[in-house]
Amino acid sequence: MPVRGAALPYATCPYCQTLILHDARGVEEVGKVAVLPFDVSPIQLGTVLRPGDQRLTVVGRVRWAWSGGSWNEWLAQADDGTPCWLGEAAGLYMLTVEAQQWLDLPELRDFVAGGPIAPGLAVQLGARRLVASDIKEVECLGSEGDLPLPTQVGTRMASIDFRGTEGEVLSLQRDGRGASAWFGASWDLAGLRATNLRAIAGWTLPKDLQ
Amino acid sequence: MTSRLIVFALWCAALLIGSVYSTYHAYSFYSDDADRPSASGAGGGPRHK
Amino acid sequence: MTAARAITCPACGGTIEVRAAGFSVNLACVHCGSLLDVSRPEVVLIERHAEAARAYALPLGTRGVLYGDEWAVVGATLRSDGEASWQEFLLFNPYRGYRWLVLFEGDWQFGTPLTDRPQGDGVRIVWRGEGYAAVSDPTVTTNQAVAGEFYWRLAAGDTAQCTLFERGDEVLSRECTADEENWTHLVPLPGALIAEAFGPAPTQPGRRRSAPQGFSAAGAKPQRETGDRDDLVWMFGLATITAIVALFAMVLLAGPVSVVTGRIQVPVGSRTQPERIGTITVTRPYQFVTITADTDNFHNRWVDLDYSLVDRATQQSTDAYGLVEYYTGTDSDGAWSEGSHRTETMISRVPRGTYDVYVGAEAHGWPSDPVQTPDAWYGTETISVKIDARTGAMSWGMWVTLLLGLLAWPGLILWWRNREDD
Repeated sequence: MPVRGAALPYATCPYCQTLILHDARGVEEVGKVAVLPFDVSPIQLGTVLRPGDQRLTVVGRVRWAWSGGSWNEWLAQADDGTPCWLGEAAGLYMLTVEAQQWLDLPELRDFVAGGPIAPGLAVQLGARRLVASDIKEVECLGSEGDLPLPTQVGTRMASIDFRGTEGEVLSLQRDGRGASAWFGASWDLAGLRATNLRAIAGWTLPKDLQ
Repeated sequence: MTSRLIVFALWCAALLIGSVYSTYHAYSFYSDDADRPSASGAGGGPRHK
Repeated sequence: MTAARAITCPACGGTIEVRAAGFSVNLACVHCGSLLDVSRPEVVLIERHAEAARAYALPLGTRGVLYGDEWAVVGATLRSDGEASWQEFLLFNPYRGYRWLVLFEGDWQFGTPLTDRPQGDGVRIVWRGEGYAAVSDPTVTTNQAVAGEFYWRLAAGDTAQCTLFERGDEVLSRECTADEENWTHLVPLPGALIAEAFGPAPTQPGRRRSAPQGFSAAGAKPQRETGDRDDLVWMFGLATITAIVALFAMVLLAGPVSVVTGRIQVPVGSRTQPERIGTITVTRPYQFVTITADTDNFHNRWVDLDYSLVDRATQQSTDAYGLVEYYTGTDSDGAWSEGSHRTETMISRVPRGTYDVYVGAEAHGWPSDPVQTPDAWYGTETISVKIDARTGAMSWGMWVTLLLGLLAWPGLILWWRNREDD
């Protein structure tokens, strides 16, 4: 089993569904992950995204569930190794890069310390004003590919999305290991100029995505 | 043309051939040959009650 | 790899396709209407129903091309704001996400969910640099029925606060529920485009859906309905043609006609010796011979008739029988009568030849024979029977049987369909 980038210490073996941790000390079996339930996502490991002048390759996926449904978080790696998360829900995409600096905002200190966030809470990111619009407790359903975090089934975290008027999004996550902040924008597949998309039986890949 | 229409057309043809064949041989389900009504209780009074 | 995930409805056991697997959260079973949670690998029954799926203008699963992209109708819901009700359809393409089709009083709109929230609130809002004006105050909209799959938990009875903002014929719709605010951009779509895109409805083998209603509002009917109806019209046409052709063939094959008539007198209370009426000729290999007995008026008498066709060449006799009876009386229900003064006897498979027709008869009274008084003035009571024997008749019974056999099939389909439509 090939173990890719060292920045992504966790890998899911596609054959035995074992989550493997590899670091300087070697390779260690962490546990089993569930086989991902079937979905019709057009993204797959190896899909290439070209938002703006960047080039990102999808290397892993985590599927998260909340009380009202589930969605995919695809891990896309830039050519320089920068990790990005591509959230996929209801056919819409959110592409975010790590932005830990926003965790220092006074409005978010309580959250970092383990407190809740009220819906409608507004934060000012420079000139942009974003509103907490999506507040969820989520649970991991499974994973595939290379990942920076362990994703055993049942892993829980808090996930909060702040949205702005132009589709910009601040996504906060907090699990047992601490909080992280990710900033980005909403996209559709055409805007991401995605290639090497998954062929879905019965559907034609649109020309602009080929 | 649906397949069930084709089956129905075949059914029509079969019935037509059957009718022509039976008429040629003067055969009918409803002929009165040799069934004597009086022998089978007919005749000899009303049966309406 | 197939594009749909197949699940089994825990309520009715029917097989359902999840067309947007991974995205869909809720699914109303197409077979029994039960609401299912399909967000997790294990399917959970949310609410059990036993109502048949409602008729929507677009059947679930239908695909069509709009604005250059193919869309599958995955969900349908009937909504009402208390005054009017309309249908909304959720469209899905795995590469494009979700869109909406709204059918309101025969007019169609195509809706795209917004990711960029319009600015402003209340009466006037701005979206992508253009102003939109509120059409009405927020109204409570209720989902009266739900079918198919949705990417959020939608159930019949759910309500939302809806506000519409207009700019020309473009509409921005805001829907607020307890924890969410969703914006949709709606543009009008000619019904002809919908009919062109979704007209040829899919045929699902082994699964019937009642004919959708309301689609005529869009100016066309789905193929499935017209296809079925046309097919039935063809069946009735074919049955009629076959019946007419058979009638001509049967008449032609039954002829030619040879007739003999005569009259016999039958004294009541006694029998007559066989009497020769005349001669008929069977000119085809086989023909029917029909003998009709027609009597004068009488009450409470019966006449047994013995017919014999004697072949002149072989002296072989073919026998048949007839009965003429007529009774009247009065009982607690009033006056009654029974029987007829005429009877027809059909002899089948009479081979080619010349036949002498003999008729013997026996007449009696009911409840008993009348007392015979050899009175010179009145004489003995007799019944006069007119006999008509002829070849060349066709069997109408056989033709009616043919007709029933022809119409049974399309008739059954028609009955089944009407039953289903109720």
